[in-house]
Amino acid sequence: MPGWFEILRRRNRANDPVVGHGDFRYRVRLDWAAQNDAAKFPVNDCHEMVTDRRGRIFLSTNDTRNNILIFNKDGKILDGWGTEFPGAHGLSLHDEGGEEFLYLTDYERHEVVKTTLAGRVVQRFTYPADSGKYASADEFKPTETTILPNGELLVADGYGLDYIIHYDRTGKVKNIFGGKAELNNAHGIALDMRDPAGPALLVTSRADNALKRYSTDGRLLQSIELPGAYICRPVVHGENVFFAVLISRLPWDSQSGFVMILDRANRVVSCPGGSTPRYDAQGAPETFHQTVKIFRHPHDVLADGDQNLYVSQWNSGKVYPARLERV
Amino acid sequence: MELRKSLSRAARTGLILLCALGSALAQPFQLAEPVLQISSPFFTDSAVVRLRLDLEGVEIRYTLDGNEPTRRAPLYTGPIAVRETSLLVAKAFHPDFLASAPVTRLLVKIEPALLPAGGELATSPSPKYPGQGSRSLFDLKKGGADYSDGNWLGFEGKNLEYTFSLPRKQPAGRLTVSTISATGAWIFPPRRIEVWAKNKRGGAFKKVAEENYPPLSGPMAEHDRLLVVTFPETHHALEWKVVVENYGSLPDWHPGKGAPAWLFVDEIFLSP
Repeated sequence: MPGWFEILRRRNRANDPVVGHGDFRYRVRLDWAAQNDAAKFPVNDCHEMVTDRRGRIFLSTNDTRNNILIFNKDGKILDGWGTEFPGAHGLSLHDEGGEEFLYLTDYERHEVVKTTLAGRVVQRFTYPADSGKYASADEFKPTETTILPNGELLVADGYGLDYIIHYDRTGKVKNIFGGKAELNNAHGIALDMRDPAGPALLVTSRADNALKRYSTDGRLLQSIELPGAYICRPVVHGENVFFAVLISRLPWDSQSGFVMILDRANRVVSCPGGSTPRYDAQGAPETFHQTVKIFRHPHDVLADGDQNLYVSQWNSGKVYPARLERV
Repeated sequence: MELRKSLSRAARTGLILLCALGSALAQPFQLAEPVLQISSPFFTDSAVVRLRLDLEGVEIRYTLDGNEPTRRAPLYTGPIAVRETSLLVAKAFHPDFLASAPVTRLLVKIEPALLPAGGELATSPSPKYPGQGSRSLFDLKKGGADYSDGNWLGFEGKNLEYTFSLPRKQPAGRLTVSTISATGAWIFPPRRIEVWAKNKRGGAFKKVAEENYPPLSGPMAEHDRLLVVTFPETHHALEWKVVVENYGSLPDWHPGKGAPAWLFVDEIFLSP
Protein backbone atom coordinates (compact mmCIF):
# COMPACT_ATOMS: atom_id res chain seq x y z
CA MET A 1 0.00 0.00 0.00
CA PRO A 2 1.49 3.36 -0.94
CA GLY A 3 2.23 5.80 1.84
CA TRP A 4 0.38 9.08 2.21
CA PHE A 5 3.28 10.94 0.75
CA GLU A 6 3.18 8.79 -2.37
CA ILE A 7 -0.56 9.43 -2.73
CA LEU A 8 0.05 13.16 -2.39
CA ARG A 9 2.89 12.98 -4.87
CA ARG A 10 0.70 11.19 -7.39
CA ARG A 11 -2.08 13.65 -6.85
CA ASN A 12 0.45 16.40 -7.34
CA ARG A 13 1.58 14.80 -10.60
CA ALA A 14 -1.99 14.52 -11.87
CA ASN A 15 -2.30 18.24 -11.23
CA ASP A 16 0.80 19.37 -13.08
CA PRO A 17 -0.49 22.51 -14.75
CA VAL A 18 -1.73 22.54 -18.31
CA VAL A 19 -0.48 25.56 -20.25
CA GLY A 20 -0.87 26.90 -23.77
CA HIS A 21 -3.69 27.91 -26.06
CA GLY A 22 -5.91 26.47 -28.81
CA ASP A 23 -4.64 23.17 -30.18
CA PHE A 24 -1.29 23.56 -28.48
CA ARG A 25 -1.82 22.77 -24.81
CA TYR A 26 0.66 20.92 -22.69
CA ARG A 27 0.99 19.35 -19.28
CA VAL A 28 4.24 20.55 -17.72
CA ARG A 29 6.66 17.99 -16.29
CA LEU A 30 9.40 20.04 -14.71
CA ASP A 31 10.81 16.89 -13.10
CA TRP A 32 11.24 14.99 -16.37
CA ALA A 33 14.99 14.56 -15.82
CA ALA A 34 15.09 14.99 -12.04
CA GLN A 35 16.01 11.30 -11.67
CA ASN A 36 19.60 12.00 -12.73
CA ASP A 37 22.52 12.61 -10.40
CA ALA A 38 23.49 16.26 -10.81
CA ALA A 39 26.89 15.55 -9.25
CA LYS A 40 27.63 13.00 -11.95
CA PHE A 41 26.13 14.97 -14.86
CA PRO A 42 26.33 18.65 -13.91
CA VAL A 43 24.79 21.43 -15.98
CA ASN A 44 25.18 25.18 -15.90
CA ASP A 45 23.17 27.06 -18.53
CA CYS A 46 21.22 24.52 -20.57
CA HIS A 47 21.44 26.06 -24.01
CA GLU A 48 20.11 23.92 -26.81
CA MET A 49 18.82 20.50 -27.78
CA VAL A 50 18.63 18.31 -30.87
CA THR A 51 17.46 14.75 -31.39
CA ASP A 52 19.13 12.02 -33.42
CA ARG A 53 17.67 9.25 -35.53
CA ARG A 54 17.48 6.98 -32.51
CA GLY A 55 15.38 9.49 -30.58
CA ARG A 56 18.14 10.41 -28.14
CA ILE A 57 18.20 14.05 -27.02
CA PHE A 58 21.51 15.93 -27.09
CA LEU A 59 21.79 18.98 -24.81
CA SER A 60 24.55 21.60 -24.91
CA THR A 61 25.64 23.22 -21.65
CA ASN A 62 28.51 25.50 -20.74
CA ASP A 63 29.56 23.26 -17.84
CA THR A 64 32.95 22.03 -19.06
CA ARG A 65 32.68 18.78 -17.15
CA ASN A 66 30.24 17.60 -19.84
CA ASN A 67 29.38 20.06 -22.57
CA ILE A 68 27.02 17.59 -24.21
CA LEU A 69 24.57 15.39 -22.33
CA ILE A 70 22.59 12.62 -24.01
CA PHE A 71 19.10 11.82 -22.67
CA ASN A 72 16.59 9.16 -23.57
CA LYS A 73 12.90 10.06 -23.91
CA ASP A 74 12.29 9.17 -20.28
CA GLY A 75 14.72 11.81 -19.11
CA LYS A 76 17.50 9.43 -18.13
CA ILE A 77 20.99 10.60 -19.00
CA LEU A 78 22.75 7.93 -21.04
CA ASP A 79 26.10 9.61 -21.54
CA GLY A 80 27.98 12.88 -21.68
CA TRP A 81 31.09 14.26 -23.32
CA GLY A 82 33.03 17.48 -23.95
CA THR A 83 35.33 19.35 -21.59
CA GLU A 84 36.80 22.02 -23.84
CA PHE A 85 33.84 24.23 -24.76
CA PRO A 86 33.39 26.97 -22.16
CA GLY A 87 30.96 28.79 -24.45
CA ALA A 88 29.05 25.73 -25.71
CA HIS A 89 25.83 27.22 -27.07
CA GLY A 90 24.12 26.59 -30.41
CA LEU A 91 23.54 22.96 -31.36
CA SER A 92 22.42 21.63 -34.73
CA LEU A 93 22.33 18.11 -36.10
CA HIS A 94 22.74 17.19 -39.75
CA ASP A 95 22.42 13.88 -41.50
CA GLU A 96 25.17 13.61 -44.07
CA GLY A 97 24.33 10.65 -46.22
CA GLY A 98 23.63 8.30 -43.36
CA GLU A 99 25.99 9.65 -40.72
CA GLU A 100 24.77 12.26 -38.26
CA PHE A 101 26.98 15.16 -37.15
CA LEU A 102 26.62 17.90 -34.56
CA TYR A 103 27.50 21.56 -35.09
CA LEU A 104 28.30 23.26 -31.80
CA THR A 105 28.93 27.00 -31.54
CA ASP A 106 31.27 28.28 -28.85
CA TYR A 107 31.12 32.04 -28.27
CA GLU A 108 34.16 31.90 -26.00
CA ARG A 109 36.34 29.89 -28.34
CA HIS A 110 35.07 32.09 -31.20
CA GLU A 111 34.40 29.14 -33.47
CA VAL A 112 31.96 26.47 -34.56
CA VAL A 113 32.97 22.83 -34.33
CA LYS A 114 31.53 19.93 -36.28
CA THR A 115 31.69 16.69 -34.32
CA THR A 116 30.51 13.12 -34.50
CA LEU A 117 27.70 12.19 -32.14
CA ALA A 118 30.36 10.73 -29.87
CA GLY A 119 32.24 14.03 -29.70
CA ARG A 120 35.15 13.62 -32.12
CA VAL A 121 35.87 17.00 -33.74
CA VAL A 122 35.97 16.65 -37.51
CA GLN A 123 35.98 20.29 -38.65
CA ARG A 124 36.33 23.82 -37.28
CA PHE A 125 34.77 27.01 -38.69
CA THR A 126 36.58 30.13 -37.60
CA TYR A 127 35.86 33.84 -37.95
CA PRO A 128 35.49 35.28 -41.46
CA ALA A 129 38.84 37.07 -41.50
CA ASP A 130 38.74 37.85 -45.24
CA SER A 131 35.30 39.47 -45.11
CA GLY A 132 36.81 42.73 -43.85
CA LYS A 133 34.00 43.01 -41.31
CA TYR A 134 35.99 41.72 -38.34
CA ALA A 135 39.05 43.23 -36.71
CA SER A 136 39.87 40.01 -34.86
CA ALA A 137 38.54 36.58 -33.91
CA ASP A 138 37.43 38.00 -30.55
CA GLU A 139 34.59 39.89 -32.26
CA PHE A 140 33.13 36.60 -33.50
CA LYS A 141 30.78 35.10 -30.88
CA PRO A 142 28.63 32.62 -32.76
CA THR A 143 25.37 31.50 -31.18
CA GLU A 144 23.67 29.35 -33.80
CA THR A 145 24.02 27.36 -37.00
CA THR A 146 21.78 25.91 -39.65
CA ILE A 147 22.76 23.56 -42.44
CA LEU A 148 21.48 23.77 -46.00
CA PRO A 149 20.43 20.54 -47.74
CA ASN A 150 23.70 20.66 -49.73
CA GLY A 151 25.70 20.58 -46.50
CA GLU A 152 26.71 24.24 -46.50
CA LEU A 153 26.66 26.01 -43.17
CA LEU A 154 25.12 29.29 -42.02
CA VAL A 155 26.33 30.73 -38.73
CA ALA A 156 24.59 33.48 -36.72
CA ASP A 157 27.07 35.69 -34.85
CA GLY A 158 24.46 36.60 -32.24
CA TYR A 159 26.78 37.66 -29.42
CA GLY A 160 29.25 39.24 -31.82
CA LEU A 161 28.57 41.53 -34.78
CA ASP A 162 25.17 40.05 -35.76
CA TYR A 163 26.32 38.90 -39.18
CA ILE A 164 25.10 35.72 -40.80
CA ILE A 165 28.06 33.94 -42.37
CA HIS A 166 27.62 31.39 -45.12
CA TYR A 167 30.42 28.80 -45.33
CA ASP A 168 30.87 26.22 -48.05
CA ARG A 169 31.53 22.62 -47.06
CA THR A 170 35.28 23.21 -46.88
CA GLY A 171 34.82 26.12 -44.45
CA LYS A 172 35.44 28.88 -46.98
CA VAL A 173 33.24 31.96 -46.58
CA LYS A 174 30.79 32.28 -49.50
CA ASN A 175 28.62 35.14 -48.26
CA ILE A 176 28.12 37.42 -45.27
CA PHE A 177 24.94 39.41 -44.61
CA GLY A 178 22.72 40.83 -41.88
CA GLY A 179 24.81 42.79 -39.38
CA LYS A 180 23.75 45.44 -36.86
CA ALA A 181 21.78 47.44 -39.43
CA GLU A 182 19.30 44.58 -39.86
CA LEU A 183 19.69 42.45 -36.74
CA ASN A 184 19.98 43.15 -33.04
CA ASN A 185 21.22 40.05 -31.20
CA ALA A 186 20.96 37.56 -34.10
CA HIS A 187 20.70 34.74 -31.61
CA GLY A 188 19.17 31.99 -33.73
CA ILE A 189 18.86 30.83 -37.32
CA ALA A 190 16.91 28.03 -38.97
CA LEU A 191 16.23 26.76 -42.45
CA ASP A 192 12.51 27.00 -43.23
CA MET A 193 11.33 24.49 -45.85
CA ARG A 194 7.61 24.91 -45.17
CA ASP A 195 6.90 27.05 -48.22
CA PRO A 196 6.67 24.90 -51.36
CA ALA A 197 7.85 27.96 -53.33
CA GLY A 198 11.30 27.48 -51.87
CA PRO A 199 13.46 27.54 -48.79
CA ALA A 200 13.98 30.59 -46.61
CA LEU A 201 16.03 31.41 -43.54
CA LEU A 202 14.46 32.45 -40.26
CA VAL A 203 16.69 34.60 -38.06
CA THR A 204 15.80 35.89 -34.61
CA SER A 205 16.60 39.52 -33.83
CA ARG A 206 16.15 38.82 -30.17
CA ALA A 207 16.74 42.21 -28.55
CA ASP A 208 14.32 43.74 -31.11
CA ASN A 209 11.64 41.09 -30.42
CA ALA A 210 11.46 40.26 -34.10
CA LEU A 211 11.79 37.31 -36.44
CA LYS A 212 13.35 38.08 -39.82
CA ARG A 213 12.98 36.07 -42.99
CA TYR A 214 15.84 35.99 -45.47
CA SER A 215 16.38 34.31 -48.78
CA THR A 216 19.16 31.72 -48.62
CA ASP A 217 21.40 34.19 -50.47
CA GLY A 218 20.92 36.82 -47.78
CA ARG A 219 18.16 39.12 -48.97
CA LEU A 220 15.94 40.40 -46.15
CA LEU A 221 12.38 39.42 -47.10
CA GLN A 222 10.21 40.16 -44.09
CA SER A 223 10.25 41.23 -40.45
CA ILE A 224 7.71 39.63 -38.13
CA GLU A 225 7.24 41.68 -34.97
CA LEU A 226 6.70 39.76 -31.73
CA PRO A 227 6.58 42.60 -29.17
CA GLY A 228 7.71 41.57 -25.71
CA ALA A 229 9.10 38.23 -26.86
CA TYR A 230 12.88 37.84 -26.61
CA ILE A 231 12.93 34.83 -28.94
CA CYS A 232 16.02 32.61 -28.81
CA ARG A 233 16.07 30.41 -31.91
CA PRO A 234 13.44 29.38 -34.42
CA VAL A 235 12.70 25.65 -34.34
CA VAL A 236 10.80 24.59 -37.45
CA HIS A 237 8.85 21.41 -36.84
CA GLY A 238 6.08 20.29 -39.17
CA GLU A 239 3.90 23.27 -40.01
CA ASN A 240 4.95 25.25 -36.94
CA VAL A 241 7.79 27.31 -35.56
CA PHE A 242 8.58 26.95 -31.87
CA PHE A 243 10.50 29.39 -29.74
CA ALA A 244 11.86 29.55 -26.26
CA VAL A 245 11.17 33.13 -25.17
CA LEU A 246 14.02 33.96 -22.81
CA ILE A 247 12.31 36.91 -21.16
CA SER A 248 9.32 39.14 -21.80
CA ARG A 249 10.72 42.25 -20.13
CA LEU A 250 14.10 43.70 -19.25
CA PRO A 251 16.39 43.22 -17.37
CA TRP A 252 17.85 40.10 -18.96
CA ASP A 253 17.60 38.14 -15.71
CA SER A 254 13.93 38.99 -15.04
CA GLN A 255 12.85 35.29 -15.11
CA SER A 256 9.92 36.28 -17.31
CA GLY A 257 10.16 33.66 -20.07
CA PHE A 258 7.72 31.26 -21.70
CA VAL A 259 7.28 29.22 -24.90
CA MET A 260 5.79 30.45 -28.17
CA ILE A 261 4.30 28.61 -31.16
CA LEU A 262 3.67 30.07 -34.63
CA ASP A 263 1.47 28.61 -37.35
CA ARG A 264 2.19 28.20 -41.04
CA ALA A 265 1.49 31.91 -41.63
CA ASN A 266 3.89 32.83 -38.79
CA ARG A 267 1.08 34.00 -36.53
CA VAL A 268 1.32 33.17 -32.86
CA VAL A 269 -1.20 30.45 -31.92
CA SER A 270 -0.08 29.46 -28.44
CA CYS A 271 2.16 30.71 -25.63
CA PRO A 272 2.62 28.01 -22.96
CA GLY A 273 3.33 29.94 -19.75
CA GLY A 274 2.59 33.22 -21.54
CA SER A 275 -0.28 35.49 -22.53
CA THR A 276 -3.16 34.59 -24.82
CA PRO A 277 -2.08 35.54 -28.36
CA ARG A 278 -4.15 38.45 -29.63
CA TYR A 279 -3.99 40.46 -32.84
CA ASP A 280 -5.75 43.73 -33.54
CA ALA A 281 -7.78 44.55 -36.64
CA GLN A 282 -4.64 45.67 -38.47
CA GLY A 283 -2.98 42.34 -37.72
CA ALA A 284 -0.58 43.75 -35.12
CA PRO A 285 -0.03 41.52 -32.09
CA GLU A 286 -0.57 42.73 -28.53
CA THR A 287 2.53 42.71 -26.35
CA PHE A 288 3.36 39.19 -25.24
CA HIS A 289 4.13 38.54 -21.60
CA GLN A 290 4.66 35.77 -19.08
CA THR A 291 1.52 34.92 -17.08
CA VAL A 292 2.59 32.05 -14.82
CA LYS A 293 6.06 31.55 -13.36
CA ILE A 294 6.62 28.04 -14.64
CA PHE A 295 9.78 28.82 -16.59
CA ARG A 296 12.48 31.31 -15.70
CA HIS A 297 14.65 31.74 -18.79
CA PRO A 298 13.73 29.22 -21.49
CA HIS A 299 16.51 29.02 -24.05
CA ASP A 300 15.47 26.29 -26.49
CA VAL A 301 12.55 24.07 -27.45
CA LEU A 302 12.75 20.63 -29.02
CA ALA A 303 9.66 18.93 -30.47
CA ASP A 304 9.56 15.15 -30.68
CA GLY A 305 7.60 12.85 -33.01
CA ASP A 306 4.79 12.57 -30.46
CA GLN A 307 4.30 16.38 -30.40
CA ASN A 308 5.79 16.70 -26.92
CA LEU A 309 8.16 19.57 -26.24
CA TYR A 310 11.37 19.72 -24.25
CA VAL A 311 12.46 23.07 -22.82
CA SER A 312 16.02 23.85 -21.74
CA GLN A 313 16.74 26.95 -19.66
CA TRP A 314 19.53 29.48 -19.26
CA ASN A 315 20.42 30.84 -15.83
CA SER A 316 17.61 29.01 -14.06
CA GLY A 317 19.20 27.33 -11.07
CA LYS A 318 21.06 24.68 -13.13
CA VAL A 319 17.91 22.72 -13.84
CA TYR A 320 17.70 19.93 -16.41
CA PRO A 321 15.24 20.39 -19.27
CA ALA A 322 11.51 20.07 -18.66
CA ARG A 323 9.05 18.12 -20.76
CA LEU A 324 5.71 19.50 -22.00
CA GLU A 325 3.30 16.70 -22.87
CA ARG A 326 0.72 17.63 -25.46
CA VAL A 327 -2.84 17.13 -24.21
CA MET B 1 -20.75 6.01 20.78
CA GLU B 2 -19.45 9.48 21.61
CA LEU B 3 -15.91 8.23 21.14
CA ARG B 4 -16.69 6.77 17.73
CA LYS B 5 -18.30 10.06 16.67
CA SER B 6 -15.34 12.13 17.67
CA LEU B 7 -12.98 9.63 16.07
CA SER B 8 -14.84 9.86 12.79
CA ARG B 9 -14.93 13.64 13.15
CA ALA B 10 -11.18 13.58 13.68
CA ALA B 11 -10.75 11.35 10.62
CA ARG B 12 -12.93 13.68 8.56
CA THR B 13 -10.99 16.72 9.71
CA GLY B 14 -7.79 14.87 8.91
CA LEU B 15 -9.04 14.03 5.46
CA ILE B 16 -10.04 17.62 4.80
CA LEU B 17 -6.67 18.85 5.99
CA LEU B 18 -4.95 16.29 3.79
CA CYS B 19 -6.96 17.36 0.76
CA ALA B 20 -6.14 20.98 1.48
CA LEU B 21 -2.47 20.04 1.75
CA GLY B 22 -2.77 18.03 -1.45
CA SER B 23 -4.22 20.91 -3.43
CA ALA B 24 -1.68 23.28 -1.94
CA LEU B 25 1.09 20.97 -3.13
CA ALA B 26 -0.66 20.53 -6.46
CA GLN B 27 -0.42 24.20 -7.37
CA PRO B 28 3.03 25.40 -6.52
CA PHE B 29 3.12 27.88 -9.40
CA GLN B 30 2.78 31.58 -8.97
CA LEU B 31 1.25 34.11 -11.31
CA ALA B 32 3.57 36.60 -12.96
CA GLU B 33 3.15 40.21 -11.90
CA PRO B 34 0.60 42.19 -13.91
CA VAL B 35 2.10 44.24 -16.71
CA LEU B 36 1.87 47.89 -15.83
CA GLN B 37 1.56 50.58 -18.51
CA ILE B 38 1.49 54.20 -17.43
CA SER B 39 1.18 57.21 -19.70
CA SER B 40 3.85 58.77 -17.47
CA PRO B 41 4.39 58.44 -13.73
CA PHE B 42 5.02 62.21 -13.70
CA PHE B 43 1.95 64.22 -14.62
CA THR B 44 0.43 67.66 -14.21
CA ASP B 45 -3.21 66.68 -14.71
CA SER B 46 -3.69 62.90 -14.68
CA ALA B 47 -1.90 59.66 -15.39
CA VAL B 48 -3.61 56.76 -17.15
CA VAL B 49 -2.75 53.33 -15.79
CA ARG B 50 -3.33 50.09 -17.69
CA LEU B 51 -2.83 46.67 -16.15
CA ARG B 52 -2.65 43.37 -18.03
CA LEU B 53 -2.13 39.71 -17.30
CA ASP B 54 -3.68 37.87 -20.19
CA LEU B 55 -4.64 34.53 -18.68
CA GLU B 56 -8.19 33.18 -18.48
CA GLY B 57 -9.61 33.50 -14.98
CA VAL B 58 -7.17 36.17 -13.75
CA GLU B 59 -8.39 39.01 -11.54
CA ILE B 60 -6.18 42.05 -11.10
CA ARG B 61 -6.82 44.06 -7.96
CA TYR B 62 -5.19 47.32 -6.97
CA THR B 63 -4.94 50.09 -4.43
CA LEU B 64 -3.72 53.66 -4.75
CA ASP B 65 -2.73 54.12 -1.11
CA GLY B 66 0.32 51.87 -1.02
CA ASN B 67 -1.41 48.95 0.71
CA GLU B 68 -0.96 45.50 -0.74
CA PRO B 69 -4.23 44.51 -2.47
CA THR B 70 -6.26 41.70 -0.92
CA ARG B 71 -8.93 39.68 -2.72
CA ARG B 72 -11.37 42.40 -1.62
CA ALA B 73 -9.42 45.32 -3.11
CA PRO B 74 -10.93 47.13 -6.13
CA LEU B 75 -11.02 44.97 -9.26
CA TYR B 76 -9.30 46.33 -12.34
CA THR B 77 -11.79 46.49 -15.21
CA GLY B 78 -10.23 49.09 -17.50
CA PRO B 79 -7.80 52.01 -17.66
CA ILE B 80 -7.59 54.01 -14.41
CA ALA B 81 -7.15 57.80 -14.42
CA VAL B 82 -5.06 58.93 -11.45
CA ARG B 83 -5.28 62.63 -10.59
CA GLU B 84 -3.29 62.91 -7.36
CA THR B 85 0.11 61.70 -6.24
CA SER B 86 -0.49 58.03 -5.46
CA LEU B 87 1.34 54.84 -4.63
CA LEU B 88 -0.22 52.27 -6.94
CA VAL B 89 0.03 48.62 -5.92
CA ALA B 90 -1.44 45.88 -8.14
CA LYS B 91 -1.62 42.16 -7.74
CA ALA B 92 -3.06 39.26 -9.77
CA PHE B 93 -5.24 36.48 -8.39
CA HIS B 94 -6.38 33.19 -9.91
CA PRO B 95 -8.16 30.16 -8.45
CA ASP B 96 -5.50 27.72 -9.73
CA PHE B 97 -2.31 29.64 -9.00
CA LEU B 98 -0.66 31.48 -6.17
CA ALA B 99 -1.27 35.22 -6.20
CA SER B 100 1.40 37.27 -7.95
CA ALA B 101 3.95 39.40 -6.23
CA PRO B 102 2.72 43.01 -5.99
CA VAL B 103 3.85 45.60 -8.50
CA THR B 104 4.27 49.04 -7.08
CA ARG B 105 4.63 52.37 -8.82
CA LEU B 106 4.72 55.87 -7.50
CA LEU B 107 2.69 58.32 -9.58
CA VAL B 108 3.69 61.90 -8.95
CA LYS B 109 1.61 64.98 -9.67
CA ILE B 110 3.78 67.95 -10.51
CA GLU B 111 2.45 71.49 -10.07
CA PRO B 112 2.40 73.03 -13.57
CA ALA B 113 3.51 76.37 -12.09
CA LEU B 114 6.68 74.69 -10.78
CA LEU B 115 7.68 73.29 -14.17
CA PRO B 116 10.76 75.08 -15.50
CA ALA B 117 10.40 77.51 -18.39
CA GLY B 118 13.89 76.47 -19.44
CA GLY B 119 17.03 74.87 -18.12
CA GLU B 120 20.71 74.45 -18.81
CA LEU B 121 23.27 71.80 -18.01
CA ALA B 122 26.65 73.05 -16.79
CA THR B 123 28.08 69.54 -17.07
CA SER B 124 27.40 67.39 -20.10
CA PRO B 125 26.20 63.79 -19.95
CA SER B 126 28.11 60.98 -21.62
CA PRO B 127 27.58 60.90 -25.40
CA LYS B 128 26.27 57.37 -24.84
CA TYR B 129 23.34 58.60 -22.72
CA PRO B 130 22.68 62.20 -23.75
CA GLY B 131 18.88 62.00 -23.44
CA GLN B 132 17.41 65.22 -24.87
CA GLY B 133 19.85 67.34 -22.89
CA SER B 134 18.46 69.53 -20.09
CA ARG B 135 15.00 69.20 -21.67
CA SER B 136 14.86 65.57 -20.39
CA LEU B 137 14.91 66.84 -16.82
CA PHE B 138 11.52 68.56 -17.05
CA ASP B 139 9.68 66.78 -19.88
CA LEU B 140 7.62 64.58 -17.48
CA LYS B 141 9.04 61.49 -19.20
CA LYS B 142 10.29 58.52 -17.26
CA GLY B 143 13.36 56.59 -18.35
CA GLY B 144 12.76 52.89 -18.87
CA ALA B 145 14.66 49.64 -18.38
CA ASP B 146 16.48 50.35 -21.62
CA TYR B 147 18.91 53.02 -20.45
CA SER B 148 19.39 54.34 -23.97
CA ASP B 149 15.70 55.06 -24.53
CA GLY B 150 16.43 58.78 -24.76
CA ASN B 151 14.91 59.72 -21.41
CA TRP B 152 17.93 59.09 -19.18
CA LEU B 153 20.92 61.37 -18.80
CA GLY B 154 23.95 59.28 -17.87
CA PHE B 155 27.07 60.82 -16.32
CA GLU B 156 30.23 58.72 -16.18
CA GLY B 157 32.22 59.76 -13.12
CA LYS B 158 30.87 63.31 -13.41
CA ASN B 159 28.41 65.37 -11.42
CA LEU B 160 25.17 66.65 -12.82
CA GLU B 161 24.97 70.43 -12.53
CA TYR B 162 21.79 72.02 -13.75
CA THR B 163 20.23 75.46 -13.59
CA PHE B 164 16.63 76.24 -14.41
CA SER B 165 14.18 79.08 -14.18
CA LEU B 166 10.49 79.12 -13.37
CA PRO B 167 8.00 81.17 -15.40
CA ARG B 168 7.11 83.12 -12.24
CA LYS B 169 7.77 83.10 -8.52
CA GLN B 170 6.03 80.26 -6.77
CA PRO B 171 6.50 78.75 -3.31
CA ALA B 172 8.64 75.59 -3.31
CA GLY B 173 9.47 73.41 -0.31
CA ARG B 174 11.03 70.29 -1.82
CA LEU B 175 13.08 69.15 -4.76
CA THR B 176 12.98 65.62 -6.14
CA VAL B 177 15.66 63.93 -8.25
CA SER B 178 14.45 60.83 -10.10
CA THR B 179 17.30 58.35 -10.47
CA ILE B 180 17.99 54.68 -10.94
CA SER B 181 20.42 52.50 -9.02
CA ALA B 182 21.76 49.28 -10.54
CA THR B 183 25.21 48.55 -9.18
CA GLY B 184 25.53 45.51 -11.49
CA ALA B 185 25.37 47.96 -14.40
CA TRP B 186 27.81 50.34 -12.59
CA ILE B 187 24.99 52.79 -11.89
CA PHE B 188 25.20 54.18 -8.36
CA PRO B 189 23.13 56.55 -6.28
CA PRO B 190 24.58 60.03 -5.82
CA ARG B 191 26.76 61.03 -2.88
CA ARG B 192 25.03 64.33 -2.34
CA ILE B 193 22.35 66.60 -3.72
CA GLU B 194 22.65 70.37 -3.28
CA VAL B 195 19.87 72.81 -4.07
CA TRP B 196 20.66 76.48 -4.65
CA ALA B 197 18.30 79.39 -5.32
CA LYS B 198 18.72 82.94 -6.54
CA ASN B 199 16.17 85.17 -4.91
CA LYS B 200 17.09 88.35 -6.80
CA ARG B 201 17.79 88.73 -10.50
CA GLY B 202 21.49 89.42 -10.88
CA GLY B 203 22.15 88.19 -7.36
CA ALA B 204 24.19 85.15 -6.37
CA PHE B 205 22.97 81.61 -5.82
CA LYS B 206 22.51 80.73 -2.15
CA LYS B 207 22.39 77.17 -0.88
CA VAL B 208 18.85 76.22 0.14
CA ALA B 209 19.38 72.63 1.27
CA GLU B 210 21.56 69.60 0.81
CA GLU B 211 21.13 65.91 1.40
CA ASN B 212 23.96 63.37 1.77
CA TYR B 213 23.70 59.70 0.93
CA PRO B 214 25.80 57.05 2.65
CA PRO B 215 28.23 54.85 0.70
CA LEU B 216 26.92 51.45 -0.31
CA SER B 217 28.35 48.45 1.50
CA GLY B 218 27.17 45.96 -1.11
CA PRO B 219 25.29 45.50 -4.39
CA MET B 220 21.95 47.16 -4.97
CA ALA B 221 19.52 45.60 -7.45
CA GLU B 222 18.03 47.75 -10.16
CA HIS B 223 15.37 50.08 -8.97
CA ASP B 224 14.02 53.52 -9.58
CA ARG B 225 14.50 55.94 -6.74
CA LEU B 226 13.02 59.34 -6.06
CA LEU B 227 15.44 61.28 -3.88
CA VAL B 228 13.65 64.08 -2.08
CA VAL B 229 15.44 67.07 -0.61
CA THR B 230 13.19 68.97 1.80
CA PHE B 231 14.00 72.64 2.37
CA PRO B 232 14.11 74.02 5.92
CA GLU B 233 11.84 76.80 4.71
CA THR B 234 9.76 77.59 1.64
CA HIS B 235 11.51 79.58 -1.11
CA HIS B 236 10.03 81.85 -3.78
CA ALA B 237 12.83 81.92 -6.32
CA LEU B 238 12.84 82.24 -10.09
CA GLU B 239 16.32 80.80 -10.62
CA TRP B 240 17.42 77.44 -9.26
CA LYS B 241 20.59 75.36 -9.37
CA VAL B 242 20.92 71.68 -8.57
CA VAL B 243 24.16 69.76 -8.09
CA VAL B 244 23.87 65.97 -8.02
CA GLU B 245 27.23 64.61 -6.96
CA ASN B 246 28.39 61.41 -8.64
CA TYR B 247 29.24 58.47 -6.38
CA GLY B 248 32.81 58.76 -7.65
CA SER B 249 34.93 55.63 -7.93
CA LEU B 250 33.40 52.19 -7.69
CA PRO B 251 34.01 50.80 -4.20
CA ASP B 252 36.35 47.93 -3.29
CA TRP B 253 33.59 45.31 -3.14
CA HIS B 254 32.57 46.01 -6.74
CA PRO B 255 34.05 43.96 -9.62
CA GLY B 256 34.90 47.22 -11.40
CA LYS B 257 36.50 48.83 -8.35
CA GLY B 258 38.29 52.10 -8.96
CA ALA B 259 36.51 52.77 -12.26
CA PRO B 260 34.16 55.78 -12.45
CA ALA B 261 30.58 55.16 -11.33
CA TRP B 262 27.61 56.14 -13.49
CA LEU B 263 24.92 58.55 -12.35
CA PHE B 264 21.55 58.33 -14.12
CA VAL B 265 18.82 60.96 -13.81
CA ASP B 266 15.62 61.34 -15.84
CA GLU B 267 13.69 64.11 -14.07
CA ILE B 268 14.19 66.87 -11.49
CA PHE B 269 11.22 68.78 -10.12
CA LEU B 270 10.10 71.14 -7.37
CA SER B 271 7.06 70.62 -5.17
CA PRO B 272 5.24 73.11 -2.91
